[in-house]
Amino acid sequence: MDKNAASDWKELDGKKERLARRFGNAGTVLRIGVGLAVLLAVLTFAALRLLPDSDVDAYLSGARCNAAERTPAIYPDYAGCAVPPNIAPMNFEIREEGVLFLTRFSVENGFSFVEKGKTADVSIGRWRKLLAEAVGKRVKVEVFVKGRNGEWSVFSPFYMNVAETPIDGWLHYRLIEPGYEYFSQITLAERNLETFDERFWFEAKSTNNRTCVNCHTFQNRRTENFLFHMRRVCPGSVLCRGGAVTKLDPNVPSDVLGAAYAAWNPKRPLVAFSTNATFQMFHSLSPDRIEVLDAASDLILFDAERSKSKPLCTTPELFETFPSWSQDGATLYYCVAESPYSDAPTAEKPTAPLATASVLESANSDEIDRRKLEAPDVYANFRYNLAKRAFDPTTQTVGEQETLVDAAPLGKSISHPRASPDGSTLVYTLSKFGTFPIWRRDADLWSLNLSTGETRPLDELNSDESESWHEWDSSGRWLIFSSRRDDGSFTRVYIAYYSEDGNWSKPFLLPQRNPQENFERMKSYNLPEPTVEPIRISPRKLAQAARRPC
Amino acid sequence: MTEARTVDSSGPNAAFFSRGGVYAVFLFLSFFFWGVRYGDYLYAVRQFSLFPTWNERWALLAEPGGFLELCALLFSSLFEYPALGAAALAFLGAAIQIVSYALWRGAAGDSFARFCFAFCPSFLVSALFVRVGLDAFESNHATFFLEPGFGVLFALGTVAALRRMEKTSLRRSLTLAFAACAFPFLGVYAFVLAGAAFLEEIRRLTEERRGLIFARADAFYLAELALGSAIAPLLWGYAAWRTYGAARLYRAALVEETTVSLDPYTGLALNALLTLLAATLVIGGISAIVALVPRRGKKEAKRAPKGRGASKKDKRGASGITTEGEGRVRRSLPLREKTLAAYAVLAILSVATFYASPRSDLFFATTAAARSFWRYDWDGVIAAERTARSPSDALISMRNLALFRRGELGERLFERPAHELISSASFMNSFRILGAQVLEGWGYSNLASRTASNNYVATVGRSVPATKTLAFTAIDRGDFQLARKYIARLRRSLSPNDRNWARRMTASLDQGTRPPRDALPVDDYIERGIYSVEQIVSNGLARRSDVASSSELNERDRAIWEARLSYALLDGNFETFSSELEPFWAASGKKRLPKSFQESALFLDRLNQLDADVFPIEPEIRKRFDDFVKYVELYQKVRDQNLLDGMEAEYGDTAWLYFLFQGTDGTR
Repeated sequence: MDKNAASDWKELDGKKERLARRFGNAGTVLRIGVGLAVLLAVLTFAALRLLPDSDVDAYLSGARCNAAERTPAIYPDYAGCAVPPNIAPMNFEIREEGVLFLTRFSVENGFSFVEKGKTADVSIGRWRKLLAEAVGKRVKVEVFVKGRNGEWSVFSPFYMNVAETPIDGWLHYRLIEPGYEYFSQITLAERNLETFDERFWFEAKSTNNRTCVNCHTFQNRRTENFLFHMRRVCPGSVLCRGGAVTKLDPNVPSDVLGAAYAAWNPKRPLVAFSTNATFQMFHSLSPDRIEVLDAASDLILFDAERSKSKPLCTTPELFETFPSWSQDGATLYYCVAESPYSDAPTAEKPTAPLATASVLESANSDEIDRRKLEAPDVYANFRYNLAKRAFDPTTQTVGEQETLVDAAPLGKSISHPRASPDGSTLVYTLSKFGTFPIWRRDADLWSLNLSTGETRPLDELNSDESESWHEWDSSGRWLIFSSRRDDGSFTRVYIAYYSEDGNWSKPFLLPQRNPQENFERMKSYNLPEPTVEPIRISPRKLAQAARRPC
Repeated sequence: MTEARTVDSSGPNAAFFSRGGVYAVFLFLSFFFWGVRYGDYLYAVRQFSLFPTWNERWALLAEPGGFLELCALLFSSLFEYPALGAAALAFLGAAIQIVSYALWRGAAGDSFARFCFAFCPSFLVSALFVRVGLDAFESNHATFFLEPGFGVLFALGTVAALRRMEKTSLRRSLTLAFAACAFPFLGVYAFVLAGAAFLEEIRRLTEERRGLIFARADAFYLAELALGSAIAPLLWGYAAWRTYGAARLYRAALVEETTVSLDPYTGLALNALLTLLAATLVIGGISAIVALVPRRGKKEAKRAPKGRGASKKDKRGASGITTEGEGRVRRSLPLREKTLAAYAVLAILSVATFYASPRSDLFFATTAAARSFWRYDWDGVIAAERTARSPSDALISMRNLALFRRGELGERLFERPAHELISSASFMNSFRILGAQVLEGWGYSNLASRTASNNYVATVGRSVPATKTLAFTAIDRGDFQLARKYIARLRRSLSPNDRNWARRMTASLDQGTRPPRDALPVDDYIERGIYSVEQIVSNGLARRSDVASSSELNERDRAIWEARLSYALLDGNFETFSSELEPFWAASGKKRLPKSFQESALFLDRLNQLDADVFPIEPEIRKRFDDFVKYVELYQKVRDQNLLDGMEAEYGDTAWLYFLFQGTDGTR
């Protein structure tokens, strides 16, 4: 390299050194700056969120405040609800205009804290501490909103009553599209009610995209024994007993006419199935968009120990469906209707163990097709009553039918009977007609006093939209049900408290970490079933079992 | 290292005879293909333009290869403006070529062949798209053709970046890490990454070692790379996707096997995957052979001067312009001939792609009509439908709905020669993406809602037209909260038009006013009550349980009733038409009947199904019908095909010719 080049390089090196010093300093400054900014953001965030309770009053003492003289508009509406002491934080969104939002949660003479922001996003730790002090009392919620004009609006406080009885810790439901066809996206989910954790323990797409999954049922609200049903492709029932997973063979109820609703006897390894030839019709303009009908339905009993089934209630001229057990397993509740079709079947049905579809002679395919054609003229004539039969576990037979509620003369129809664990109350769904109340806007929850026979609508729980698919928790104090009150289409889970003196509290929407989840989620929550423990079988094992051929 | 640097920098055609020129031509051809020829189709698949909620976003990303789908989803947002989308696709194709070429640089073999071979993946992406055609309207995964493009880009781009690392241990470590971790993001394209890295390592080793001589470490690394990438899906399945079987894991993000139904008039049904594989073998195989086979001049390459000190002249070979690659000097074609050959390859690939793409008038008419349909441009729909020689049911449905919106359905129902019965349910089942809006236009809000709901996330993804239809039908039923739910989704769209629509709809709902007219496809809403429980799919038409009273109908009800009777005619349901024509006429104020109704009345009068004298039939129509009857009587005697053709030419725009091709009991 010549002298000039060497000189050039030297100069360049000098430049490099100066640049390095400059940028090095700049780099240091930049790093420090970024660090400080992050620290400042963290501190600000913490300060904003961790505003001590006492400071709220001090914060507002010099401010111009207006009493709003009403409670704030919040979503979901949790004002006046009774909540379990172990429920996840009841986060809500404040739907008031403003630039700054403060929410104070407090227990009288006890713990309190403040959340800042349009969404009251409470940490689980603080919430649990609050509820622990509020058992049997109530939580006071105060909302303060600062308007654009700088003035604060102080809303009237609302309260959440904290019950003494906790709710079962887990809730299982199907997540399904509100449309009727694409069941390839069905998932069975488990939600921890004490947190916001949700996990999918079975997905239809883990087997085959055309598999429909429905009607999970747990024995006695525990997850040691449970089953769920698959239809159409890979049909069968996946049965879990004591940690072992099996798929039922074709000799047990799988898709014989479509085994639908299932109920596991709380005391014995017996499952009552309804087997239904179900089909749908569609209104073009009516508010009730879909009608779901049965061309035939009966009840069968499946013995999970022996893997055998037998007819249970198969009266030819009647439609029996929606089996449900009493807590002691000695009584079978179900819904029954007279056939509205023109030619009711008269042939005696065989009582041999179920082996093929021929056991339901009246429901041969030609007859079913004929009934489907007739359905548009008779669908409004389906009226189900509530009935029960005593069950003999020794012979595995049922006694004579007793009608508990005769809804047909009233021009109504009953579905989904669910008896409380203490056997005192039975809640059912009542609608104008039919057997699929989720699609009926007039479907409401009713209660039946099993001692006195008195029945009444649960106006405290009902809305202008469909309420159905309800279930009691193990304590008998909490009723979980599905409702479409939010928008008339997407089903959501609501929980209501039933006190010992027979009063119902205002139901509350299943809490989510982000309240908008309830609005934005494009799935319906179907068939909520509470359990006292989570499912301990891995989803992998369930999927492997489901993929096995029958 | 560079190749094919513009050595011949003199002359007026320097830009043309350069790689830049080749790229420019490629970009132009791509833009023309996507934007000009298939712009309407791009617009149709633009539906995936919604920013999903976090749950939906996670549902995408939680699938192996879901990252590619998310990229495709966001990319397709550009298709709302097909020119923009076409430009983006052209650059995507160029990017794929660049990373492909970057990988092969330095390999033995002809650089020109490598350059051309590098265009193959881009054309294969186009081939994927073109083989699906109208099925993409039905697919729940219509942007699938973008995913291989992104998959190849990310996979090869990663390898191209890694090959720049000189430090072997670092390069190999990172390669193994990327190959192992790519599966959740790229799905099966992780194999492309691993395969490209494998070949790149082979190339490097053979180059360095002058042959296939591997050290133990090299062999171990290659084995590790091959084995690791092969079992990576299983390991990921064990760790994350526990419920997925092996088959599902190993085809994650792979192009779906879609049975291609080209328009039934010109093509065969082919499997897109087989087509892709065949194209790969033919095009890719030849190019790969040419690219990999070392050429003459290797000995000269060894003697060639290297390094910065060597002058260009020294590097230049004896046979014209010579390219330089990694210190080697090759004897090769001059640049001019090379680029001409590159243009020729582009031309061949383009012609092949164009030839293999949908070319039927039905395809272009359908996509153009759909685009006009979604923009509520009824004149555009009618004009597009005219370009199809034999329209499909879907096209006819769109046309009829456009006529309905213009209030001309009854008048122009048989305007076009229609030789085929419109099948009652087929347009819903075979073209569901539009079925919802057609139904919504006919006033069947529940069925429209059902169709749109089924054609939603679970099926076609996140359809903007379906979202709007769901919102409209919800408003129609008074489910305003539900409508807000759907409108809120469009607030998340990347499209400013969608967001603006959502804003205006929300404002109108908040104010309790009717949404602005231009935000809706109809002038006002359907009155409930005139129709009751019915099932349109199986019957083809709504059944009325009570006929409207004789009181005057409002214009909207009249239009719906007219549509109902029109479909009765199309469906051959003469009983319904005959029984309702008089009440319809009376309820319409006994005004002039539409042309097709007059024609049908004369026809049915001749079949003694109604008395046409009750209605005011225009003299011209009567005379024409009389002539038609004579024509038919003559044909029944003579049975001449020319006579039939003449009848078609003369009376092709009448109901009578339509009815002649179907039985009066409604059968064909």
